Amino acid sequence: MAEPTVLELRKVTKRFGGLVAVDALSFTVRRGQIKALIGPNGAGKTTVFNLITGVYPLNGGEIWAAGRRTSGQPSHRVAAQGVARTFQNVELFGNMTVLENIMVGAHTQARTGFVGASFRTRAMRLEEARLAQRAQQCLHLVGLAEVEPDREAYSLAFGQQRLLEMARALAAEPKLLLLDEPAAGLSTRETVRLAELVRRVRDLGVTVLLVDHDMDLVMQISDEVVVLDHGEKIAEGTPREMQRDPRVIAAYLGEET
Amino acid sequence: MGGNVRRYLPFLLAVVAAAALPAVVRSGYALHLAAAIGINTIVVLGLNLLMGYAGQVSLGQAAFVGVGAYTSAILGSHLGLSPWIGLAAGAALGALMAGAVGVPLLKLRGHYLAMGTLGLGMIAHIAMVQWEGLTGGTIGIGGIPALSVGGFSFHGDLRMYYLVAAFVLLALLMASNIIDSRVGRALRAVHGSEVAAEVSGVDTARYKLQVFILSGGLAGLAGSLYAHHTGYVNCDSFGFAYSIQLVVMVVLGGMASIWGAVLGAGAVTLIAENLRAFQEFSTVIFGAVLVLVMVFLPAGLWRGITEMAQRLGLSGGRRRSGEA
Repeated sequence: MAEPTVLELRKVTKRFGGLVAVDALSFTVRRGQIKALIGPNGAGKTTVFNLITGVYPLNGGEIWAAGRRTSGQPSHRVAAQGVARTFQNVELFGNMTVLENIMVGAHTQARTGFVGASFRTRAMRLEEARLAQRAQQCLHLVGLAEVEPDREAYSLAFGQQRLLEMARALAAEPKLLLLDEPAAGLSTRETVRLAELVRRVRDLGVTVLLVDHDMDLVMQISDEVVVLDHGEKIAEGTPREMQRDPRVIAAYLGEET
Repeated sequence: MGGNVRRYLPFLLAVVAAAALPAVVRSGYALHLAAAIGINTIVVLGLNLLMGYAGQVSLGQAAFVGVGAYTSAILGSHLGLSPWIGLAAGAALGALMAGAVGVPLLKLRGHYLAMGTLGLGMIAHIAMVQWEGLTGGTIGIGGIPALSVGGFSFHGDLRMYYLVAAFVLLALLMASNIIDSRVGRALRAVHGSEVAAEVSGVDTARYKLQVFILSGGLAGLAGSLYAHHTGYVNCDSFGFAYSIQLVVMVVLGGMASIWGAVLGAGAVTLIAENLRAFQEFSTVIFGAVLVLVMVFLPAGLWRGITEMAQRLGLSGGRRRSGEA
């Protein structure tokens, strides 16, 4: 286990008014891992994602990503640091095409500004070609090769929208990919393909942290699991250890399965 | 290359159409109106980038047009400087003012931004009326020189029309280039989902400010052209009513549509002009026309017309959302 840390949470705390949503949470994700964050509804899982990606400010603690402190930084800076994510309720750019959605994902991989764009400079055109090619690759990677790249994003089926969102996140060439309930709303067959895809992404060198309610998926693909309850970490370990942990069974598995 | 033909053919057609227009309409009055439409088109292009593409409303855009117009008036008429300096300064001051007020204003969202920009427009208008030493108050400033190159003066309706048309075509080309680029995608992403844009690495606050500055600069440029076109500016031209007219031009032509800017500016300018005879009823009729267009062509004139053309089989192929 000599792999370096890609993500580290140090006593991260988040309060909404009087409610402590995340309470002094600490855990690390090492390079090449697939790690899962699980817990009953309202345990604070999505809040943790929003804290990592700078959507919410922290009330206490620190977050480090890829060797730099990212807590206190705006979301776009965290993204530039190599952290990409998807959303529980798919957040696509509905007013744009499939390919354009992915190209926005590659925003940090390019630098054309207003002037370069206005005059369609040679550098800008080369960059556009590179981004479009990269977007096509991502479309293939997530298994949407047969989807017309010029289609409006919202015209896709729900399962395809989830995959498109993942393609957009991958276009950023992230070091760390956060997947917020990637299997929610997917059929059993789609979930099996999703598991394959997550492994393939990991094999390409992207570290994965995911939240999901599908225990089969989580237990099957995760190297390690962190269990949250009421914003606190109650257990951490391999999926097998978690399945036998009495606290976890009491808080979560016991109620759900 | 096929892509290039597809990209630049509409502009080529627009150049030909703009060049041929004086041969068709002939009258000086019509050319005067055409220049006014062109000037409005420049403002609407900037406002459409801001509203239609980036999703940020401005109900105070007249303020920036006014800044450009008064800059040209003061520099040209009072200080006797070259109109070209006035034009450059007008655009620069419009952009500068947008940058200065944009930093606090763009922290507001949705309806609050609308209210904020509305306030900006009103304050700017009050300044134009009351700051008599600078603006001439309700009397305004006259004797603004026409633009000229060497001995060639862009005086008269035909010459001014061609000059405005050149600026409009250039602005159209640049706006269309911006939209179909990393910058344009970032702007549309801000509109689509601000949080998704941010976590994709788009500095949303910065893009909003930049596009606001661009819209202010285009408005300032248009204001300067207006001043040199009419030779006279007065505070009545840059009030709340004009700001609303500009928003109507954007919506009527079609949100997120470059060519819609031309149609929207054209339609509203012509309707307003033709309703003058009806005096106090003109607002009522204007409103009724708006309601009708919005009911039957909710996506604006440009979409409405292109969809009709597609149904009639005049144009094939899918339209990409970034185009048009």
